[in-house]
Amino acid sequence: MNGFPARRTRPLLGTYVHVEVIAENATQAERAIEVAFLRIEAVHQAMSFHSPDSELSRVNREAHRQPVPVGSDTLAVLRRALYLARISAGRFDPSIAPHLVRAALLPAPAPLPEKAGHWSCIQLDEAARTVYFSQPLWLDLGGLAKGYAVDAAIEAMAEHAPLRALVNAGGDLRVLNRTPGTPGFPVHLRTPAEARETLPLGQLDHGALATSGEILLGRTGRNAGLSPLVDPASGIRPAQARSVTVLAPECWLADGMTKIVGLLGPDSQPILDEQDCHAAIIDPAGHLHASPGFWQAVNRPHPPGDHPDA
Amino acid sequence: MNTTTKAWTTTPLVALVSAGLPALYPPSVQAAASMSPEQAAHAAFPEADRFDARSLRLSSEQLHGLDAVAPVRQRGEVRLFEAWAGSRLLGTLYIDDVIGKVEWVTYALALGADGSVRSLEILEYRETHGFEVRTPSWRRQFSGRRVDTPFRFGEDIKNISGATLSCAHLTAGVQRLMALHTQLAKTSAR
Repeated sequence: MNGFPARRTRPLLGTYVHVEVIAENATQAERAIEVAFLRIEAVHQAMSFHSPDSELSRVNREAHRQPVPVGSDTLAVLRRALYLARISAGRFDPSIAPHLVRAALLPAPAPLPEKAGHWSCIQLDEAARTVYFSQPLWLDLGGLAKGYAVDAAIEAMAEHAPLRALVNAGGDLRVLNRTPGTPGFPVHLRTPAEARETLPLGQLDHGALATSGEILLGRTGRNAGLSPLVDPASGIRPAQARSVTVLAPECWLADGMTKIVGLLGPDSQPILDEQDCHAAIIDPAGHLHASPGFWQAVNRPHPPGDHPDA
Repeated sequence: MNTTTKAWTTTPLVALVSAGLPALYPPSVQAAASMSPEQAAHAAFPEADRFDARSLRLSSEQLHGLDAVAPVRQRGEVRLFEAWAGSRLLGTLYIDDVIGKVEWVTYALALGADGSVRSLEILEYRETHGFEVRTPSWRRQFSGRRVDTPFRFGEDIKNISGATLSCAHLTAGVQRLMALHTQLAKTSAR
């Protein structure tokens, strides 16, 4: 196809962020990429759990004492986090950070709160743009903030009119396509069994894709097999599923839904339907379980291995 | 299989590999341009009128010293561009590689004359992917199956979803280069 392609990779959100665009000319492509990274950097700075200066860290330190004013990005992510908690009856809970800290999956920002609250203790005041915790708790918006940053980048680029664009923040990715009829971006899945291997999944011509799994690289020792999936009731545990992939209209939703599907399995179908999402679960035996519509959504109308003429 | 619209379907991962995908992906994808080292140098030091390029081979002693700063697999050779405006040294752009578990990254770090970071750009990012590296256990899954046709997508297209890769290796590489820069500055001041 015609068009000027450009791409950049930068270390942000704790991972590698790729931005790829196809635009009408080089100037437009470069501008779209810059605009995308500016948005991602803003979200990164506001919502880093690791940086003591981030807005999120300030919220974690102070919001149980008084309402803390937050910017529009943090407010937007918190609103989405509470939405996910509501639709999943608390399976998605943004206040699981203490579990992750105890399992050494996150560094401790301060001594652990003695009596930790959970998501229903988070109070957003939309008019005053503040957040208040009725109990001390720690928020970790990591995955959700990553998905939101991808959405923000895609939406900012849409204003700069690239023909096609893709943003991939460490596996949370979303596609913009202004030229219907052109093939989507090929997407691959890193396999749970062997991190070096990737499987061709299909192609994505719109929407978002996110994966959560137990292959968390760089993690060794006693936590090597732990999943970032935390059951709010029982705490962190080794995952039943090896990895969970979700297709959704927006990336924050794709990322958040991976946690819900990871805990509920195929029982999450009503929520998937309601949210216009599709999911795939890879089990320990090396099988991929796809929800109805999953393969169609990645432009593989017939599930692989299920050829109608065979 | 797949007779009801509401049923989940089960597919062995092996079938994903052996399905006729090349037809789905026409190999006509254009390679997207990445930054070259020269472009990175000009972007980091737009006011420079001259760049002195050289490469620096690190002794094993130096590499060992840098391991104490931050351990990461790093090549023993670093390219650098000194940026000058007339007789004034504006700073240095380093080109270096770090190798993680799965990823292989070439990056450009620009340090000002005072040693502060001006910019950090990734020039090349590769994830070991597809069927380039096959472990015996992976190969065993395919015994008896036709997997002799490797998938050849555009070399640049690697839109991979999976558990997040950390960029800790790159952070370690940057710390090493900053330490190296301080060492070099001391040596040249002597």
